[in-house]
Amino acid sequence: MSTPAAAWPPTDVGRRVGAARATALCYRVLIRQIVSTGRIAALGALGTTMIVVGWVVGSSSSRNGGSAAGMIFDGASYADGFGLIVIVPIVSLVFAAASLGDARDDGTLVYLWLRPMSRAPLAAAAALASVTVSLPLCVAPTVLGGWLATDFVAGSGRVALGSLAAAALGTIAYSCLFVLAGLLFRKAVLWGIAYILLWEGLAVGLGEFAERLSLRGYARTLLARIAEVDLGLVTYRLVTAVIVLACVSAASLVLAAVRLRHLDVD
Amino acid sequence: MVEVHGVSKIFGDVVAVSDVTFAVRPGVTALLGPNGAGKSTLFRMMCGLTSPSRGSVRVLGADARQDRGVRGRIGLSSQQDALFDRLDALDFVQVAAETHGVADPIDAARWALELVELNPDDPRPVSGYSKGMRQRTKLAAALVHNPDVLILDEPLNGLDPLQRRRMIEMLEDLGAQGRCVLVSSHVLEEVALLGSRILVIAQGRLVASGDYRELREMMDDRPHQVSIEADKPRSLAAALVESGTAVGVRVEGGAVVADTLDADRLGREIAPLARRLDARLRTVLPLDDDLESVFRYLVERR
Repeated sequence: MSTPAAAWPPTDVGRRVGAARATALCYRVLIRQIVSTGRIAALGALGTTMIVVGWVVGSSSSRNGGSAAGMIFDGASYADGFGLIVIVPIVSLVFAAASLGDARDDGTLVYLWLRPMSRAPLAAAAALASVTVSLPLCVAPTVLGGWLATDFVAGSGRVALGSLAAAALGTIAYSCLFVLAGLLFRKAVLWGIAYILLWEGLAVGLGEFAERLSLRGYARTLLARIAEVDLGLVTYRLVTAVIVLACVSAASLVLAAVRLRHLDVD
Repeated sequence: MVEVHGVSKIFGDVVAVSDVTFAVRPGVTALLGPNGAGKSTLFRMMCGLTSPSRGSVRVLGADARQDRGVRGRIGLSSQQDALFDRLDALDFVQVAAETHGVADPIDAARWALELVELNPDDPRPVSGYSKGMRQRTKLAAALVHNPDVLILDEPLNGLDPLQRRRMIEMLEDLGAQGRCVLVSSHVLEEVALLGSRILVIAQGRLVASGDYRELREMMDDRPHQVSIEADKPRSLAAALVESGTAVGVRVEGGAVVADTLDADRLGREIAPLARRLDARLRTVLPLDDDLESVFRYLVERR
């Protein structure tokens, strides 16, 4: 190892890194850390399954002479039941919980934490990285699966559009929530799965109040309103659903930034 | 540059650091202590990675947990072996440079990697690196932004003897430039080689501080062991006890191992004693003059 002596490159010691720059830098690192062949393959297979099953459902309904309204309902129900209940939360959980949770668990968080940057860009970058990876894996199967399940009858475009909006905003909200979960809990994936199964899956069936506290209810509202389908459960005004999902996303990121500020880093 | 005042850190029922006070000035300072002594916790508090339960830690006059500017003037090489494993070394160090706001991050990263004798053009991700290479990658990342305070947790782990010697030379150079270089180690000969100020940490407490010589002086009231190779070892052993120079003796393989409370007096009197017995002295060697003995004494005395 040579002597550093006089040839130190020019640096501005104590310089702070702005929020936009910090977000971009953290995003660049985190997205490379969360993407793995195993994760993409497993979650891609799940999405492919939804698309194939959607095609089978649409074809069989068509052969059995289902009505257009019935097929629209089937398509929307399928997008809700498989896409919004299973794919969107699970895919979001895997990447979002890993974004900062893995870094915290394996000790690499220190390389982004001990820097002259504020905490909000780190939380925002984690959410952006998660959304970037999750979005295509959530939106494509939910939209294609739901659309194929309608067998392209008149009005099926509305199902596709509703699925797109619901899957996209749902993915963003879940991702932000699970970034926070990754900072709150060790083994956040297990906590997240418990939340998805027990709360989003079961507890919302307990009544209107419980459903108001589930993200799925708001995401499904987007699908139901845009597709003009009555999915049989509580739905809200379209604008209410959008605002709630946006507020959950923003609040999760703020709390994640606060959590980062007070976190004990290994 | 670093002030630790009355600091304690408690994790549940475990007191990791207990009422530690010291100040560190520019130059190299070594934190010496066994594994689990609280060295890494002290370093984490200095960097703001965790708050003290009691007391205060100031680095460059501020709390690194609260002050962004100070965080930009600290370089940390943590004990954690984990790196961003999908990045190659140049990317890893470049990210460190960019997140510190270094003006020309690529050049700075190349410079830092060459400084620690790693190839900046090595395309392998750091996951394929040996422990020593990972250690040097972490050091490059800690140095790349020209920090005023360099905190290195067990930086010599995994290095071969040549790399270790060069690293020690580099740390001494950095200290001589007026930087505050804090190095932890549980390996005593490493700290002896650093020739630095030493803070001895044991069971979460600061048990001693000073340079090696000062630590030795603190131990003058303890028995020292001296090995004496000479003709007629049994006669010499008896004479040492009879004269009161040694408080205990044994003969091991033809050499006298003497326990003495006054090593200086033994040094003065051994030659006249040998002459009187007509015994030829071959070697007189202190057995506990190494840092290991100092350390063991300081820790076990508690």
